[in-house]
Amino acid sequence: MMNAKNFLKMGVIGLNGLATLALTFALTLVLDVGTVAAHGERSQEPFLRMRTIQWYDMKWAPVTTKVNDIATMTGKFHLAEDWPRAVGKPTRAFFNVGSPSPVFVRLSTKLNGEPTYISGPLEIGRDYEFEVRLKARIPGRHHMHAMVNIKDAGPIAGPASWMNITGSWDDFTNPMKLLTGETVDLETFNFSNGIFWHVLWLGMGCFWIAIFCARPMFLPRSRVLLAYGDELLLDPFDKKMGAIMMVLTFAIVWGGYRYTETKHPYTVPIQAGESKVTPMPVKPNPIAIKVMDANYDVPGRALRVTMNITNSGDRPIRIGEFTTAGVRFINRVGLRYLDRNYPRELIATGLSLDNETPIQPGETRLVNMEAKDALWEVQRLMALLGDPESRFGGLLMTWDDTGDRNVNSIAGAVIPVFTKL
Amino acid sequence: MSLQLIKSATACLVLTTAMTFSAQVQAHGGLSLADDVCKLTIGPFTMHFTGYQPDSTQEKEFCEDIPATGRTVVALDYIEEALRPMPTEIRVIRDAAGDGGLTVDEKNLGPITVLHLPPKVYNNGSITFEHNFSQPGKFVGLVTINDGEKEVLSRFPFAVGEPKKTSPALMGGIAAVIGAVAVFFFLRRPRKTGSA
Repeated sequence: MMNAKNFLKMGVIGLNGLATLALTFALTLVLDVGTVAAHGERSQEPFLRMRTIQWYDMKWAPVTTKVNDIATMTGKFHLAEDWPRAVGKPTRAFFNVGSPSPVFVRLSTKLNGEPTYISGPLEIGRDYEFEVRLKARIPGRHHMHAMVNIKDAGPIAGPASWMNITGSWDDFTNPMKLLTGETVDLETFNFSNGIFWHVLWLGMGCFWIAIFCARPMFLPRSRVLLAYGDELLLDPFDKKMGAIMMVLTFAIVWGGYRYTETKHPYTVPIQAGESKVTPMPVKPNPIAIKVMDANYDVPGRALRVTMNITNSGDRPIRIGEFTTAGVRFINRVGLRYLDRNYPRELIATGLSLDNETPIQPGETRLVNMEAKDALWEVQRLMALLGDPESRFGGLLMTWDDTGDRNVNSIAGAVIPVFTKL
Repeated sequence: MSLQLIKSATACLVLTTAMTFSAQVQAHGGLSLADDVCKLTIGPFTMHFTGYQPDSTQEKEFCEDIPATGRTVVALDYIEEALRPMPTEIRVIRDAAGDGGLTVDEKNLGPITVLHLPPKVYNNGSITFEHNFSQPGKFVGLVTINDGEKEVLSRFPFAVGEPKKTSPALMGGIAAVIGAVAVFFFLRRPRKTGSA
């Protein structure tokens, strides 16, 4: 029995605890206030960003919308041939959008022109084109990623652009015409019904837990069970209560089901199964690339790749871009073909070659390429040097004089070096 | 009761004190280790600071103080894109007074300058410089940017080859934890024997 002394003691201890919490909260606010940036993708391992889904031709349009306006995110991705052994293969993948909460409502997703709302296999070594239609919902400045969720690998985020939504959230509507001809607003449809069911099940759950807290609590129960078996714990009241709860649960589920069936007789089940999207057709590519070696100049922030490039086509080609993890390293050739709306913070102009002249038809050339920029560090890509498998990956883009582009996925082991300044 | 109260209050005090140490430390001027990244704050902008001593520790990175004398390479990476078109000047001076360079004559830095990179635009967003620190000592790094209207200076004092001092606050925190543990264990009331 708790006497006055113990009561006072427990009270003081409790007050101490509360004071600690309050003080900690206050100190956290005072000492740890900083700006928040949406750059979670940088915490993803570099091998996930460089050697799995390789994104290109990404576009976000328009980047500023009003609430209720439509924006699209389009682009292509290649599934790298050098897919890391440690990462689950894309046998079941779901195309997604990475955003800070549902700031947009996704109206549709298409892969290679096919509506894609369920997961399915993707083929390593092949390319896919996507288009996502988004409806602006919550005003603000949001960092919007394309993303692919892969079973056994997790979400793999692509490059992101800042998209602005203006207006008021209160004005947002999401009308949907039903099979019955009735139009409902999905933003508010059956909101109270959802609250009712959450409260009902939460209340029943709390009630069930409360019973076992009061008669007696979990730890004493467990100790009695371990020491004496369950005979002492078998109380007729528990049995009655269990039966009542079971009957009540089934009754509510059945009743709720019947009510919904009556109120909404025409329904479409949530779709399951598997999407089977055929990859983009393979474009004949006359360019063959073999990476001979690669190193990363640690303080110089430069990846240097030596590779043999064979041009089996009938037109001379020039290297213009090396893109990895959404970061586009370009030279003057690449600049000509660059989409000027691509996020500026993901463009690096530090791509250079030891020989800038075009690679002629039938020629095989040993090319030394350097991709130099602070973005290797700012995007935390060279953390791969600490990996047990230090390999880079990316897409090398070449253009001929007619503007025809070829895209090659390249990869290789990287060795860290310190070039004498 | 009083002992119990002392123990509880002490534990609360220690926990609260310990939590204050979780905040980021800013004892090196504009240079600080925040979110596991060594950042140099310069006006409204930030740069990622990385130091290397390739001859002794290869690609191991350090922030703030340089552990030993010898060849040292420092890389500063612009975090904000807005920094790229701005000219940046780097200077490292000796900190003879030991006050973080606050009392030096800024118009006559030449005699105490050990390294100077004149203002230059770094399109690649990365500045790398190298210096061979032959003697241990105290130094101050001065990074100046010019946004076209005004110059913004960030200074970061650092030591080369000097044993790392332990912060008095950290020492106090550790002492408080040890004291609390001692109070808890040595003054604990012996448990009553027999069943309750």
